[in-house]
Amino acid sequence: MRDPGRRLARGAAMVAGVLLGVAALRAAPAAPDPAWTALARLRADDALREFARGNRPEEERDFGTAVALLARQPIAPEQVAAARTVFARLADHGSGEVAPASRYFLGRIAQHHLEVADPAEAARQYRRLIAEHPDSIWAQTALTRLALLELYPATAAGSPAAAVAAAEALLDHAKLPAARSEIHLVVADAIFFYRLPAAQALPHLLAAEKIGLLDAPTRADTLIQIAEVSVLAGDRARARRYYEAYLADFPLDQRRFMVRQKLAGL
Amino acid sequence: MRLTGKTVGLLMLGAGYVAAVVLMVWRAAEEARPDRVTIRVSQWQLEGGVRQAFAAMIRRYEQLNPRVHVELISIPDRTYRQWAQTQLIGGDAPDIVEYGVDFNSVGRFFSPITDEVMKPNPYNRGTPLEGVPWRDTFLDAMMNADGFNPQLNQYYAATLTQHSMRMIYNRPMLREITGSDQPPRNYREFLALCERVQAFAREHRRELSPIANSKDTVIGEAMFIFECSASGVAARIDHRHVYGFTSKELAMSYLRGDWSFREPELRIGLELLQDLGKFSTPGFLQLSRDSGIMDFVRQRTLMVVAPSWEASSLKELCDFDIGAFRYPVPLQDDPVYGSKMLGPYADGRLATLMGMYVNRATKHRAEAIDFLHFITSVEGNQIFTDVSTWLPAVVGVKASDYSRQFLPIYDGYIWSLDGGFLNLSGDDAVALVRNNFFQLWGPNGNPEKYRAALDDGLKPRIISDLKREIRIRTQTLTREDAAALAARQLAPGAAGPVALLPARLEGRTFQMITTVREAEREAAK
Repeated sequence: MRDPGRRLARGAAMVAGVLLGVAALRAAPAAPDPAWTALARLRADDALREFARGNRPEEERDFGTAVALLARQPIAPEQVAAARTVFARLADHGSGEVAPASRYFLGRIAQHHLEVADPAEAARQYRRLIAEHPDSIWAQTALTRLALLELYPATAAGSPAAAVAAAEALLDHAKLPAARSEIHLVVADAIFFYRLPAAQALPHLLAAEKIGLLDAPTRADTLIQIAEVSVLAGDRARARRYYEAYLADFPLDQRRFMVRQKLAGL
Repeated sequence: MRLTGKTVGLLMLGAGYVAAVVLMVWRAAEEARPDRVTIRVSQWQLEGGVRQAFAAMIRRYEQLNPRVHVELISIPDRTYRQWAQTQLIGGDAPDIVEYGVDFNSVGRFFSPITDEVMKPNPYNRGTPLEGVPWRDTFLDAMMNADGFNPQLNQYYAATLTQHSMRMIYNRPMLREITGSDQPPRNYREFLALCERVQAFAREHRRELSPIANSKDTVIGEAMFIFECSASGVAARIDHRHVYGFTSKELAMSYLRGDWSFREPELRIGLELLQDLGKFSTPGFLQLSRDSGIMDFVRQRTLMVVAPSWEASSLKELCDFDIGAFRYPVPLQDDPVYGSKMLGPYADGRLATLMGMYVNRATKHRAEAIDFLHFITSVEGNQIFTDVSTWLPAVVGVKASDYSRQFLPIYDGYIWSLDGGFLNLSGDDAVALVRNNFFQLWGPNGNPEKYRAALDDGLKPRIISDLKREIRIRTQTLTREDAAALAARQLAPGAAGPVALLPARLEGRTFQMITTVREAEREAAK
């Protein structure tokens, strides 16, 4: 006959072992998801294989598979169509972030993935996303892409000035500073591209600089642009301020020579 | 036993097979060693001193890091691109690969180092660069085509050197011809020297030309001369107000009618190029880089057009004393061209070179980054500079006495980011520019014939180049969308918008599309 004390001790040890195991599992950092890791490394084939293994919720599997299909080279129209079908379903019925992300990708597919781009459809998807999920990071990201569709080509809006005005109107929906900054920059860039009066770009450049999210190369460009356009607008004091800010903040940038020449000429 | 050709062939084949197997087994064994990590580095610079410089850096690095073994793979430049891309596609490429952004597919093959560049380089401890972000320890703050990739908005490559174009001259010969070994100080003195050399050759019945040149080296010098002369045009067409443009932006500007080769400054540029050809070795357009150099080494010319990276080889090859000077492009004080010139000129963009990229598929990213830290530290880059006699890329690293004469001058006007007016848009436009050199430098060539050939043929070639570029950029956009989303999934708590390519960069692609469509509509009329 077995000793009940030993059985109890063995049982307690087993429970303790399981608990310790669970604790260890919780303490150990979770291994990065292999499917998303493969996709982050642009290995779409590997990602598709990992998503197909099925150890994840169906919705995430479908979403991940659709994203990977858009990245798998060489791109075939059939795989883009397959991804589009999945995104369309998830955009209407997905949960959490999956729904707005899928809507965003529907816009993206129309904008860039189709053999013949469909900018009108892309804009429709982005607008719907912005209307349905205004606070979502996907809607905020879509705003900047919609701004590009408003700006290029300007014929859609009727004239470059009308295109710029349409893009500027999107600022009302931009809640994240990053989205605002980016819209200001794309609008300023379009003003220069269409050769509209350069001074029109000034408020956008100033706003983007003030928001303070510019990476170093963009900030160097922006400071010079503000100074240069200020010269054209006759505001020498502001030009001087921004030339000097550039010189102070970019000691290794080669354009310092030209900036110093401009400063000397003010 | 009699050895026939067939037997020898079979034996050689067998020996090759055995060597390959031994190499594979050895490499597998090295990779499996638990006590040591082996990283491989590939590069294509076979010029004098560079491989020795790598060997010296690796020796010192392994002394500091006995756990890491570094293998150098040097491949000739003619086959390097094909070799590297085959290895990268096959997943067997080295951990660190010298690569060029113009080889394309940077985003596909390499991982960005953006997260690392704002942290200090640990090997700079105890130097004036201690605590300085890695990015700011490079002379150009990594703002070169390989360091920072504007299309992907990411930092990618650490660079080792910089370069300049120089006229290298034979000091004793200059003294013999002119009585002085001082090089010319301005354009008029340069022309007078070239004419003096020609007269000297006639008087002494010597086979002697002023300048050794070749179809390869002339390109760099021609680009420098032309960019200088184009400075005034560039200032007029800088519509983004950033003091510069890429060659693709310049090409778009050509399509939009902002400029043509009829601009007065560009006509002067073509005349300056004609002078360069007039005083170069006859038939130089048929000569390779090596032939041009040998003309100089064998003292058949007084000067040679050479990029600074040839200087280390020339030092080994020449048995006479050499000096170097910058091609004296006319300035505002030139009596003929002065009114159209806008100088002083910089020696091109301050851009460090020899981009060393981290393979996206490396299993040893930490060690690869660490090795890059070392070779771009004050100590590592000083070793590179001292042994190779190439120019440094890192702040505070001293050029050798010899290489100091090749140090670029950066205080001056420079607009083009990547070659500019003679390097427009891509392969098709560049082929037009180069295939028509004979219209300028051939027996009956002149600036007007060359100008006409360029202006007549450029638009369709720019359009085809830009269409190709649009396809590449669109592919990049679509790929990066997926990668950015995946990165977000891996960091679910991340705040802020998804780190997609900035819209302003995507906007440049839309500008390109708009420009090309308008140009095509215009051409169809």
